[in-house]
Amino acid sequence: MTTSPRPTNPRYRFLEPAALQELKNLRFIAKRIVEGSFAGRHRSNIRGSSVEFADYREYSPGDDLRRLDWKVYLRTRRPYIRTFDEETNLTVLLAVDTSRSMDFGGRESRGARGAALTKLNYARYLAAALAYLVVQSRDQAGLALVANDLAGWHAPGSTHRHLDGLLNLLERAEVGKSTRLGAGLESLFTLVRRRGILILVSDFLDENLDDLFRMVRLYRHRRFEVILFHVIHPEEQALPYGRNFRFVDSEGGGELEVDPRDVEQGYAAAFEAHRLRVRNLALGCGCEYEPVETGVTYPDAIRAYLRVREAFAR
Amino acid sequence: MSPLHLWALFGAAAGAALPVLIHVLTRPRGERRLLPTFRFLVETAQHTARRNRLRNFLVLLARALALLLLGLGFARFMQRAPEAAREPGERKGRKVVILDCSLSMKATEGGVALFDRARAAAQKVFDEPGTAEGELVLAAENARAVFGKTSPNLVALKDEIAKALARPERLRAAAALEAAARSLAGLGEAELAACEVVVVSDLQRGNWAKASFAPLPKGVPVRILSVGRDGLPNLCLAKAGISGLPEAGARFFAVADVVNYGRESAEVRVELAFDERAWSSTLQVPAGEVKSLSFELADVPAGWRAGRFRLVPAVPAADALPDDDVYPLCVRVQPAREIALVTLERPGEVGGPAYFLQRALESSPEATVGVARYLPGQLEGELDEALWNAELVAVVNAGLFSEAQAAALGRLLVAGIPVLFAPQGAVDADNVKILEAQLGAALRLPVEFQPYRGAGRASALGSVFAERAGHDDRGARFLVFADPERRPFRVFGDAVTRFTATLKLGGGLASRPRDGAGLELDAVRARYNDESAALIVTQVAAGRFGLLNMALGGDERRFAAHPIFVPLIQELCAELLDSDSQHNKEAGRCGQTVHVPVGRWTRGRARGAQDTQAWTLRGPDGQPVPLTGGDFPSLKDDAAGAALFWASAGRPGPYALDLDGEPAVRFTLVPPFDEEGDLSVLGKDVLEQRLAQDRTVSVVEAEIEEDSSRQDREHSDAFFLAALGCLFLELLFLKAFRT
Repeated sequence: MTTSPRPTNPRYRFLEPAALQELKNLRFIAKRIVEGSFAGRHRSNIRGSSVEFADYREYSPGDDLRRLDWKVYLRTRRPYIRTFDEETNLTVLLAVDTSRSMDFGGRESRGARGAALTKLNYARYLAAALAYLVVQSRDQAGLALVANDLAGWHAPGSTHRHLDGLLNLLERAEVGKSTRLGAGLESLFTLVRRRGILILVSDFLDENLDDLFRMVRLYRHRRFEVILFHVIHPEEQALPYGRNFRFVDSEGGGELEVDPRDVEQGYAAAFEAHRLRVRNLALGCGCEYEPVETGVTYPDAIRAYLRVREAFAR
Repeated sequence: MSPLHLWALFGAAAGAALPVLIHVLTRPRGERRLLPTFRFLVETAQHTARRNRLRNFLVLLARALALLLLGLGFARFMQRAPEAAREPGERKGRKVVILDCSLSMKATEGGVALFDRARAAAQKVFDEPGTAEGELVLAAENARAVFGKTSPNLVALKDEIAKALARPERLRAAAALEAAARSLAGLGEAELAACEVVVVSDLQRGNWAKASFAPLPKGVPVRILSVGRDGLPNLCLAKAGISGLPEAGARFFAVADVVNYGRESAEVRVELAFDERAWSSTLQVPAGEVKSLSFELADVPAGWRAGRFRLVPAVPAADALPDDDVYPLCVRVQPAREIALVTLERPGEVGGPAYFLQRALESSPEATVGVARYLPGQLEGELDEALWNAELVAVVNAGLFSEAQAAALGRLLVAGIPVLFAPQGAVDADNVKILEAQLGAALRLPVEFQPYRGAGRASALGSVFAERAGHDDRGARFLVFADPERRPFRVFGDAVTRFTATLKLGGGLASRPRDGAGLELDAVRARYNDESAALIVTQVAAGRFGLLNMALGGDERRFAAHPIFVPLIQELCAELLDSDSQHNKEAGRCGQTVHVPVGRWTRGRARGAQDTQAWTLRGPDGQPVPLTGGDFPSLKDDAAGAALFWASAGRPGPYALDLDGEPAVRFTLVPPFDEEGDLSVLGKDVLEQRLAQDRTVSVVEAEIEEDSSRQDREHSDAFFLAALGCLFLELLFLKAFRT
């Protein structure tokens, strides 16, 4: 089904019409059986009244007699009830890392509407676009802002009004201090009632990655499909060119004056080691890991990801 | 080491501080960058930060040191302002510079020749402010003025200075001062007041001790820029030659005198290369002493032989003047000794003076001697070839010489053939006069001979009759003086007095010193108790003339009866033969007038000096030397045949004169080592007071300025090199710490 995207409110800084135009033909589908509240496009683990036959089972008192298969009863003199797979809607939880490390945007990069293209803003664009896609598909999208704890929460919903609230939360998101994604996800875990898809958009510059992935494993144990978007800024991937820089820790406040030429190799190796660690941990937990560079426009990143995802879903 | 300029020191310090300041003030304040991945950076940068601090420190240190050294180098370089600029008031309008170009100026100190210093000092004189005109006198054995008078063309004079070279000659200070005086001739008093004579010299004691500034006009100040340094060590071959008669088959020696003019004893190796053979010996020469060294030369074939002595000091620093370490030799080795005896006595006549003299001459213990008798008449007309081939001509009892005979003897003497004349009677007094008349100024005996009168004989005619009658009535004379230091009496050593005391001699001639004879009396080697000369040995042109005023008869009053007769005749013969001009063909000193008689060696070839195409002269390098006169030698005819004249002899070394491609004569020119080897400097006070002669003479140590400048240059070079090294080190540090 193709629907044209609804016109967006200009005050939504992170929802750009041009980007939505690019993403209009994409669907966010669940790879697994999901647990939804409403009937929808996605297969549910709930046997319901859908047209998709699933199985027979013996009648028990209280069953809807409309589902009794009379032909089987006449042949076998035993009552059997026909069960059907219920198609339900999808619940997508968007968790956006708002720690201070995400407030890094390099020097010159700007977003389409003039916002400095920090990793956080990039994550906001990404989350807003994904939420829009989800709501457009009549699925539910929720938003959680996590830093050193759960900084904001907007329960899942599938209406545009709900989307409006979600986008407003994204607008209001403030940069947190340190990064403790594990604590944030832990708080979120108690708020989520139905399993679905957890999309975590973060730079994963969390000193306690083990704690984070302990929580991720918990989500996975609850049969959540977990997708990790690793936001990487080019200027943190490689040190800038130049003779001398005084680098300041965006979270700890430490300073170090160094000639990038002296440390660029070691730094690049350390960063790559970190990225690989996140990837290995993610894949080890059965998550999807998708590194996205802020140098790539988020529609492109989403399109690339969703196409791959769709291909694997078949 | 002279002090540095303060401002330059400050500059150097500021220069050294500059990189530190630049580093501190312009240290790149790193652009502040937030970095979320800070912890990755910290992990990496921890060990590189220490490394970088060390690198920065080393680089900064090297850079600061380089600038400090550069500053010091420039401080040295610009330290000295010209003295001229400091004392402009003393400058004169006309400058006559006398530049010492003698051999001693080739001495080096610290690797720099004195002449180079002198050249620089002389050029500076013309750069002095207020110098309008100048003149340059290049002084050595002869003084050469560039223009002959003062000229405003100072550029040309400086160019001449730049081209000037030290020559292997001594300095005749008198000639140089006279040349300077000539260049100032004709100037008025006012002009002379603005003149100055500047002497640039090493003030070598030997050259300047007798200098006189009297030729210079009074009122003209003399400034002497001394480039010499007292106490310069020098090892010198002062003299070398042949001792003994160089005859084929005989032993003779090559001798050399090594002088150590330094203040410390020095070891030196003396090498002799002679006739394609080599000898070597090592000597320890005490300070200020002369050591003689001889090498025995045996089995040397007859003919012209050349060689050279060479000094090799064990410590090169002990020899400031290496130019006097080579001494050329040139010797004619005679095939056999041939003596011509000119006498009226018949060969078979026994007991006469000629008989005894011949016996004595033939009694050589070393050489094979052939004595050929000639009648005096054979000296007339064309001389017999054998006479020309004789090594010695002895004349005894030859009667009264005709002018032709005396002239022939004179020619032989001039050609270098020694003559031994033994007067026996009164007629020989006339012979001596005739001979003197023929040779003119060449033969000037210190005494005047006359017949020995004996008792009661007053007239010459009476003495003739008395001689013919016999000698019994003559009184005996005693030898009261025989020079024990020289030949022929030297061979008897301390016993000479004992031998001569027993000599009672009759006959011979009486003599009295000639008026005005001073140093010439030195030729008298033995005297009688009546003050008559018993033996005279003197040089006549190229030959030696010996006059043995002794009766050689056989009785007890005759010399021939005495035991010392034969050895004394042999020694006298050796003395006459053993002359430098005879064997060791050292023609003369560089720069001086040289006369080489060639006739003796080219007789019979019928070539005169005018036939210049037939003659070829080759120099030390084997290249032909023009025989054109002027600065070059020329050939002239004299009484003994052709002779080579060289007004101002040129380069030292062996020369070969050939006639029709055949060797005519070989000779060597030698620098005046004995005069120029001593590098001691004459005292300043001697020049300024004793030798000034009412002139204003001031001695300035020009060498200090030059030397310091040289040292400054060396120091500057060292500083610049060190600075360069520091910069190179900086590059190495950067390379080593490159990440």
